[in-house]
Amino acid sequence: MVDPAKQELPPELEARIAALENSAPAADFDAASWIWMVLLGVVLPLLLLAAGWWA
Amino acid sequence: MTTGENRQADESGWPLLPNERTWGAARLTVTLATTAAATWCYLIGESVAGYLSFVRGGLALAAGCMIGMLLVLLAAGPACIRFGIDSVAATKPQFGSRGWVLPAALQAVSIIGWNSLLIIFFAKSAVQLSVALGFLQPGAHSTVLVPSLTVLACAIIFTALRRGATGVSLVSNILVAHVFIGLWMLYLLVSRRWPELIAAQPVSASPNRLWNYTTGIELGIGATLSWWPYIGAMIRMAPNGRTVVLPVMLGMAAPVPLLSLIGLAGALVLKSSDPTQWLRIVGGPAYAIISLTFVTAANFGTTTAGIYASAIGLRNFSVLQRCSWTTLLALTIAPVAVVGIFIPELFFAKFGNFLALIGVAFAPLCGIQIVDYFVLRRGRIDIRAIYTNQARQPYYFWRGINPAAIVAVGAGCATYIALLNPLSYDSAAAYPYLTASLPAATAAGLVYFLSSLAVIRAGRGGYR
Repeated sequence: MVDPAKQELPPELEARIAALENSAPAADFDAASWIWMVLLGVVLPLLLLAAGWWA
Repeated sequence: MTTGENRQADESGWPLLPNERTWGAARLTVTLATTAAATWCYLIGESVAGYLSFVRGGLALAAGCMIGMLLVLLAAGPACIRFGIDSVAATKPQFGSRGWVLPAALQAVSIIGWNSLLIIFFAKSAVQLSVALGFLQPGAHSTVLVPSLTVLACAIIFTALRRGATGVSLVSNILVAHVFIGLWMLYLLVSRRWPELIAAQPVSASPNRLWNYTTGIELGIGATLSWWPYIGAMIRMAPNGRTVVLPVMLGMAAPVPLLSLIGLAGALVLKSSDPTQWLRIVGGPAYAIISLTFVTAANFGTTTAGIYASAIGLRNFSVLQRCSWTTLLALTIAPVAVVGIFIPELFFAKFGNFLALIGVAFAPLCGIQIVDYFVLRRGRIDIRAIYTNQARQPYYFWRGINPAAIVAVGAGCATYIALLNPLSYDSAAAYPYLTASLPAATAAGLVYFLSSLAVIRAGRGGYR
């Protein structure tokens, strides 16, 4: 029996989704990404704010 | 996948497969930097100059931009990076298989608004450049030339974007030089007017030192939150999070405060944030021509990326899924062209109010997406459910809408407006300690979390 959700999708889109579902789940941010985000999005702004306040 | 299929995906808004996501860090950085650097930087700098001095304003703005960019990356980034989808598609797990129309409308209105503004800037700058180069007589009739140049710019953008994201990258590779021209202009002003720059005081500063500082931060956060509509269409072209983080944080967030310093410095010292005016004062006609070239190029690159992001976002509407890329591009560019042709001066005069109102919604949107992905779903996204709209599908919620997200957006916007009126800048007592965007994002995230507990209990939303 065919999944009803698959029936409404264009064939090309269905193929893409199937390919993504059948492959290993992609990761979002790895450890290095988190480190950079914390450094550039949290630590750096705090340093900039401190420098600006006492400038 | 063949090249033809790659292009079809590139122009469809469908999820991109790993082998199609070929942009490396350098290519993404160039594209994002070219997208970020535009005339709005002067406007942001000019706004900050009302409240803060050069050094303090620059630091507050830079901090705000980095914070805002982090929020946008954490909100839209994970789903876009994992599945190669755009910002609007990434909202379907939160807003529902029909409720995503709300963020889609925000995206369309924001991008069309900004692009209209930038195209008008582009046309005005091109007229000034033509006069400076001697192609036009001084006093040339801009009421005719601006609309004509708007049409020309739209035609060029249309032609470039017929190649999809490759067209965006191509335009960016050509125009990225303007970022360095901008930095040179900044160096010029700082090196020649440093004593005046350091001594210059903001004209609209509040007696409350903290209020002024917080407003500088808030302007930075607000500026980068407005990148939410753009970011998904760009980062989905890169293969993974590691490739994306540095280009976004450095390529997209950093140029904004750096180039905003041009407007900040100009507004403080020469009382004009427009470098095409003050570079003539500082360096004569030759420098004015360079700055006009910069402004023209900057706005053109940003508009190209914006039109592409908007077109990909519109693909999520089922009625537009099957129309040709050429038709979709025409539909996306048409409102920009109409504004530029028929009401350029009116739009130019009213843009601030318009963008201030639109910007209020992006902080709550980010708060909702962050809580949904990292707290409630813990990274579990059903890519099939994003592209289906059937009652049994996880993101159908109730009639395709997740009421938790709608309530949370309302709570976030109300929080923002209660803390800071984006039009009058009247503020609550807590604003100097909190900013407005961060509490708005937090309130929206909290309300979304609490409301979603009821959604989960009802067995809706595909939460596991």
